Amino acid sequence: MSEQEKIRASVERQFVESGEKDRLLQLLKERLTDFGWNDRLYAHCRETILNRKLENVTLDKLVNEASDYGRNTIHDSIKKEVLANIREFLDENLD
Amino acid sequence: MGSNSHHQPSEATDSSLSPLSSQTRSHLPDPGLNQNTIYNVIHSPDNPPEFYGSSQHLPLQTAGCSHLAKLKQRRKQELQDSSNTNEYWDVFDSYRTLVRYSLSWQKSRKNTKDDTKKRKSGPELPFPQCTTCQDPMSRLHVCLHCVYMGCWRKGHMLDHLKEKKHMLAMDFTHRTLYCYGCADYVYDLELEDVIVRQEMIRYESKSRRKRSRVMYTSWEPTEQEASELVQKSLLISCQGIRGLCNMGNTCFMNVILQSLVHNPLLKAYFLSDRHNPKYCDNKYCMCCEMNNLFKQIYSSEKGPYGPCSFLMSMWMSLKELAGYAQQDAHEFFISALNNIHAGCEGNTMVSCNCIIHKTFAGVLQSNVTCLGCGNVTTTYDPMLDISLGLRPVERKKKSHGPNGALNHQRSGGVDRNGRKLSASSDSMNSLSDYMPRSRQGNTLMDCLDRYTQPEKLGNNEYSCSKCGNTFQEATKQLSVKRMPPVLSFQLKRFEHGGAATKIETKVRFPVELDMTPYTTDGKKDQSSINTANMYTLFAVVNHQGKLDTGHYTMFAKHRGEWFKFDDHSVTLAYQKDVLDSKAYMCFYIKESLEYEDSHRNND
Repeated sequence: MSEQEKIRASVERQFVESGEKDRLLQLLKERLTDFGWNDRLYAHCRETILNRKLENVTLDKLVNEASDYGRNTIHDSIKKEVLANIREFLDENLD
Repeated sequence: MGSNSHHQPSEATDSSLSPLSSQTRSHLPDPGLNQNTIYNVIHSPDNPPEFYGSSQHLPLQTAGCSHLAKLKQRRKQELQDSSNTNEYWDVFDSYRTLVRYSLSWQKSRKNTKDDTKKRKSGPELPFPQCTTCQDPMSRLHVCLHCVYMGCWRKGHMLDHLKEKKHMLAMDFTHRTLYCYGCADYVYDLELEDVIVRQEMIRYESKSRRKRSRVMYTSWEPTEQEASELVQKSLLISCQGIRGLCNMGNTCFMNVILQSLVHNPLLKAYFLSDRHNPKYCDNKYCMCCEMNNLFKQIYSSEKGPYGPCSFLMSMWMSLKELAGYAQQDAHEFFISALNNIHAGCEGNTMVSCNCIIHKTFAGVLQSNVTCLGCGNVTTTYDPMLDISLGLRPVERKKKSHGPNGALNHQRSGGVDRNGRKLSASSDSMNSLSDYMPRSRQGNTLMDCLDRYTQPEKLGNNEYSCSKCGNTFQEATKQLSVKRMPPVLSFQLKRFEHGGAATKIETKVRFPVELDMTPYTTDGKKDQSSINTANMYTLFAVVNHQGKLDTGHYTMFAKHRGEWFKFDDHSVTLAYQKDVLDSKAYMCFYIKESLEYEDSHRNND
């Protein structure tokens, strides 16, 4: 593993082990719920399945179909906030 | 993997317990937890055929998919064949262990910042990461057939399943099962009940050790209860959702009935047979009618139901209601509550403990402050709901954040209803440039603000005994002294004086509502954070059209999904449609119910 890969692996491990990943994920979930993103995505998935008549759609297929919509409808303020949190984590944990 | 020492002497296959229950093969002895789940009771091979009714259902075999069915079958055979010396790897035992690992891991990550908890948490858990690439983050899965963890995004788990011809893997975060044969996630009732749910209950019970309150325990039937259930009842299929027929402008009644049917506390009461018409002597008893209504809604009939007897009993109880004209749904709601209360055994006029009052009754406190001497007169009024007036929109300076945003360490100062606590700018506050989905307007919280703000009483309205019984200037302020478990709001859209008009203003209301700022204690201490005042929306009544000729419809939440009820027609709805609708009445239920204080404030 290259030096860079080693650092990345070590940071990722620290990220998960310290519980920061779970905390940030929880924060993200709350923000998305507040903005109604969940509701809209849910409705979009249902509509997509009905309109495109996707029979027996698997989770992976649905994820592929809806990912773009999901990513595009996230409010910028949420992205900024999560990125800021990640940046802070990196500042604290990288020498 | 030895068997539990408390295990009954009979063979696992002869007992009414499913072989998947942990009593047959438990890793940890757990004397406190009764292993008999409702699933086991219903699916036990020992049940008499009469239990399944006329449809001649033999013991039901359920499985998430055909591959799971085969694996279950194989397990049954392995357990029966005691002479089998082969090393049989029990996939379902594996699943149970992995569920525990996942729960333990997630819990332990919450305790990393708290040193006292860290010391007490048991042995270190293995760090979850992909066996192939060591990545701990790309949607980890765990194989049920061997010791292997694989990430999803890079395809390592799928590669493994294909290579080793293994069938099942568990998503480490969500604890759901992926079946390679089906190439999709599968959901098995038995596994969800007997493994996942049980382990989660076990987890909850461990964490509450230090609480002073009585621990919540999930009800599971004892052996005796199970046998009573099976011998004396009939298994039917029901939905808990039925439309109601419009019997001539009765949509006002239908929406209220639906709101009562989907009220979790009323549902629990009536489905537990707490008011049995057999033992009730009242004539035209509305409590019996409610019982009957629940019976109909939870019968195996799927078509719409015509609540004729309910309507007739209401007419007999309240002659003014009789007739075919459209009535106001809110008036009907209050009448219905009063009549149901009247039918309850042991109902009283003061501090009544009937199901209606236990569910809906709260106490409003009214403080009148004399501006002359500062003396405060307090009075208490019972209430069953809150009627809020609507006024033209006032453009307020502070911006409103999204509803329900919770206080978080790194984000700016926001109260639980998503509104900024102070005007101070905070670079981390992501809500400062947020524009809500719809135009800023009246919100439920604004209405509650107005309802509970101090208002000046007019001249000659208040005479103060401390100021020698002279008329003084005074202010009056309302607050909620005691919050009911179910909070009902009416938005006063109909003005009846003079020109009868309808106010069509859209009022935004949240899914989660924190009532702390409107409680008496909350007004005294503005910064108090009291999670006991959190409420969740479960029903909304809408009115379309003009005052006397319009139509009522409603939304209600059933088993986590929103449905739209339009008389006989019931359709799946989206939460965003519920929140976008023009509400006339909203029903909220407390998120967590506590036991009553023994020193309840008696008004």
